[in-house]
Amino acid sequence: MRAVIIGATAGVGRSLAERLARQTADLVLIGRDARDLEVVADDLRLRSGAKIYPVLLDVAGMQSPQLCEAIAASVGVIDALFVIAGVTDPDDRGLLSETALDRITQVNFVGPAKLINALLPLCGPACHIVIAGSVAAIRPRGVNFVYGASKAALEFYAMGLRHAFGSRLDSVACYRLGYISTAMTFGQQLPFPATSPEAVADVMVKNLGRSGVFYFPGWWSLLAMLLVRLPWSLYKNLRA
Amino acid sequence: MYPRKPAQFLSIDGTTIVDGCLAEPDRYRVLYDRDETNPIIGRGSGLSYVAASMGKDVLSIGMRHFDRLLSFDTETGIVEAEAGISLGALLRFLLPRGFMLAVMPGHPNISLGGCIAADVHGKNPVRDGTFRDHVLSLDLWHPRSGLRRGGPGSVIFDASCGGYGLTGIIVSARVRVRRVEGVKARLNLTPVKSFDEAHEILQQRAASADLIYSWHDWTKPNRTSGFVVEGAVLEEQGTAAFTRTAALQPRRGFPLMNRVTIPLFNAAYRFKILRQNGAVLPLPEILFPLAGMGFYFRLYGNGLLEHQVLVPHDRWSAYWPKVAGLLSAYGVHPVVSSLKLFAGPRKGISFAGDGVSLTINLVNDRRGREFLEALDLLDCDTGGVANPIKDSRLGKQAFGRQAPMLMQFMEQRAALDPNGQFRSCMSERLGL
Repeated sequence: MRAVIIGATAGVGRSLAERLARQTADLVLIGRDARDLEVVADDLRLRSGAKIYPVLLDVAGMQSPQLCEAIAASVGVIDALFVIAGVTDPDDRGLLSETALDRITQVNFVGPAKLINALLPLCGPACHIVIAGSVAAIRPRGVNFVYGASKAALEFYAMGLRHAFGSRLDSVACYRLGYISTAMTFGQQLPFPATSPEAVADVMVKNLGRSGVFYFPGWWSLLAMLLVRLPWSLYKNLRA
Repeated sequence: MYPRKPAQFLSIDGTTIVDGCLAEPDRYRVLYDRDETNPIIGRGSGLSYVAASMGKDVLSIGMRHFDRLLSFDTETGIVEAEAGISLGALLRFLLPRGFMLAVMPGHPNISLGGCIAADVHGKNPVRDGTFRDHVLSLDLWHPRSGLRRGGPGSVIFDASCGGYGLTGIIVSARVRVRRVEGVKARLNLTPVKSFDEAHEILQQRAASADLIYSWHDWTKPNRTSGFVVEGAVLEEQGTAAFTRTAALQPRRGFPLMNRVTIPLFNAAYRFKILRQNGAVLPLPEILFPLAGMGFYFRLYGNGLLEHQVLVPHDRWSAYWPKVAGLLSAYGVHPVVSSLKLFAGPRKGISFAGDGVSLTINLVNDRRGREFLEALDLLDCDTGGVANPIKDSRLGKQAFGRQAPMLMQFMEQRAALDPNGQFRSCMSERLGL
């Protein structure tokens, strides 16, 4: 398998890279910090013997032609594209600065959408596209709503792709992820237990070939059903 | 500023609880924080017996995400890895390629950085030395001076190997590893009637053994019978199963170690160890005896007191009967008593040198503490050196008397960490 992972240096992206490298997949790892990217690539090469191609790139400032060239020169054809990169901001609970708002929307939606758009011609006939969404996209609330909006937009885009390219792509899956033990949630008081990045990576790889929107952990689907049906008069009183 | 959260830490020996903060950076731009104001300390797996990676109002920088292999050269046998990698992970990588670390302490989750910071010893310090003897260079981060590399002879290296994390955060290191013929070893037990007999056998065999130590049942002060345990790596290939990989979580339990149960525990351990005589076991099982032994620490209830002291060979025969006398006088019953031999010079403030090391585990109670205070005096008078990474109540005075190179270390530390930003419970207690 030839896979591309956007946001491969930490958290779920790194776990995915480790998981896929164990299956001796050829991997293109995309990250924005050269130090982390090189180290992750070296580690995977040593442990697994897989072919690893690190590509230094900030999703928010993506250079499509260069990226396509790099991927064409390395793995050539893409069998699986994982879009994992994401950022949030602790101030995302009111009026955000323009810079922060721009950063969140660029990294979580605009960048990935441009990237998928650019890479589609390189996708093979049985390519899987896997998107890391968020439960923040279930229903807007007073915190993380810019983040939630950007993830919802990405999910919308991914499902549009599924509809438009259903015959060309093997699958398009978007995972609405609950709380994951990553730097994004570190130190936060979470209402529900966090899942490990390794568990998320396992599910994403095992379910390759399935299309649609999925919750992980699965019990979030029940909570989501309740949340979307909750009358506004009650919902507005939920703690932000 | 490191993203952090308040955390209550408990030392592995269960004696020390402290409120601090924890950060767990997962990328270099977060790790390389330039905040010089807050007290910090690096934290590997938090498996030191003493509170070396935590402190009151200290920010512990957890290194668990920095666990990557950076390079490996099969010709030279040199591996480079980030400090947060565990010994178990390193061994999983090295063993199938015919290599292993020369020095490995008893749990697979112990980190590479922790091994360097505590300059740990393994299963035969006479042949293998201590961990620093195999480190070729290390990268050290300090918010004030940034990232710096040091090799043997440099201040960075000399003060950080066995510097208990007080010189900065060890980020990565290059380590020379040893070729190993197989993935299994045979254990042989030689019964001994006393410490003296064990000491004699250890001196005869330590130079060539792959693994050698002695275990003694010292529940009666005048009887020290036991076994010399010797291991030889076999030229047997195959897979080395990591049968016990459970994390060692510091947790207190219901106190079950007392004068009635300690002899029973020792009898059970004697039975267990006897069954291993002549057995061929996977190397990880032999190298990591503490894996899967979390219950042992909980049996002590309010924690265990471990005292490990290195006594010059020529004073050993006179030393241990005095310890036996103190045990009788204070009515203390050691649970575990073990001997290992060491060879070589003192190295900074590390637990290293030439002599025989005695390790005892005691229940953490008033009598145990009073006994150990008396033992500190005996150690000092005998020229003994206590291991500061094992003993949570070792005081500044005894430590100072036993560490002739302390002043040199303090000067080196002042050069590397002039404001004393790096500190821990251990450093506060020992006046470092």
